[in-house]
Amino acid sequence: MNQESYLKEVERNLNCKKARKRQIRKDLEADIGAASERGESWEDIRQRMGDPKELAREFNENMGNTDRKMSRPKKILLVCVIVLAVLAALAALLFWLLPKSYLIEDSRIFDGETVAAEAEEIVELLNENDFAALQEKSTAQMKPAMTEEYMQSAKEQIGSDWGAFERFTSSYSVELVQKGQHFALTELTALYENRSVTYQISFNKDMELAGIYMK
Amino acid sequence: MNAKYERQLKKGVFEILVLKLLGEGEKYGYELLLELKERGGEMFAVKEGTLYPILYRLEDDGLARSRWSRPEGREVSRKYYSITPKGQEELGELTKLWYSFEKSVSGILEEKG
Repeated sequence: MNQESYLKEVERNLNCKKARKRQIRKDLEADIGAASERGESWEDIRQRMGDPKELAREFNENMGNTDRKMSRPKKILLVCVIVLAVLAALAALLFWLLPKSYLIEDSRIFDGETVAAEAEEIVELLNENDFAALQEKSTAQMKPAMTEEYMQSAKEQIGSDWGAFERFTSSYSVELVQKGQHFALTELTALYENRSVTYQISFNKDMELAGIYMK
Repeated sequence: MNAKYERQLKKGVFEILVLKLLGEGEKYGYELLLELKERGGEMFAVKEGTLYPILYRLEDDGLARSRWSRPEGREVSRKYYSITPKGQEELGELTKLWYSFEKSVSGILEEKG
């Protein structure tokens, strides 16, 4: 190993700033020059200085830079792990945001029959315009919508004269989970004299009325 | 003897020794290496990897400064390190500290437990 490749090897194994590396190289070069002026051969000098990696390690240790630079494959691996972790977090977030529906029979929170009965009760109260009772059953957010005025205009949008309520023709309930919250949703079709109306009625986990949608 | 402990123990005194040598006049790196070995024997035979970081620290702290020589003829350029007034002051204080340190440590080591 000649002087140039020796110094290169030392430099390669130093963990310090470029300017410091240059300084070390110049100092070592001057040292080698001074030693050879004294009659030491390059072989002797190299032997005295020892293994270039070892010399660099000693420099690093004495300059407080003991933490070795991460090797390239390790860096790549670390980046991959971070990317995967971010993707997993995004997927989890998306999963959390998207509503997911489950069979109401499998629910640990809701009882299917209670939910279906309660949904029918809500529609019947709407038919009777019993807003006092509806207010009573609603969540805080739903209360402002549970007024005769508000619901009347909502009904108008579907059709002006529904006619008298006759019967329910179908009912189907599911459990919805979104953003960590559980809801029971019942889709209920009611037949009126002049038309049929489909309600989607949701309850929170305390069986409070959390939403009504009609079409 | 565990080489790690030996190294650790010696580490602290190199700064004083280097300051002391520089206090006697400006010297270049290789000269310091030779002098440490001549005057301290194998015990202070340090390598470049130990000496230069000490010189850099002394320089960074304003206790020493360096200059490159203008080579004459076939001579190679040399980097001379010298002590600053602040370094002289520090050397005086460290020397005092060394004596009281040495006394206390010896005192404890010689006590019969």
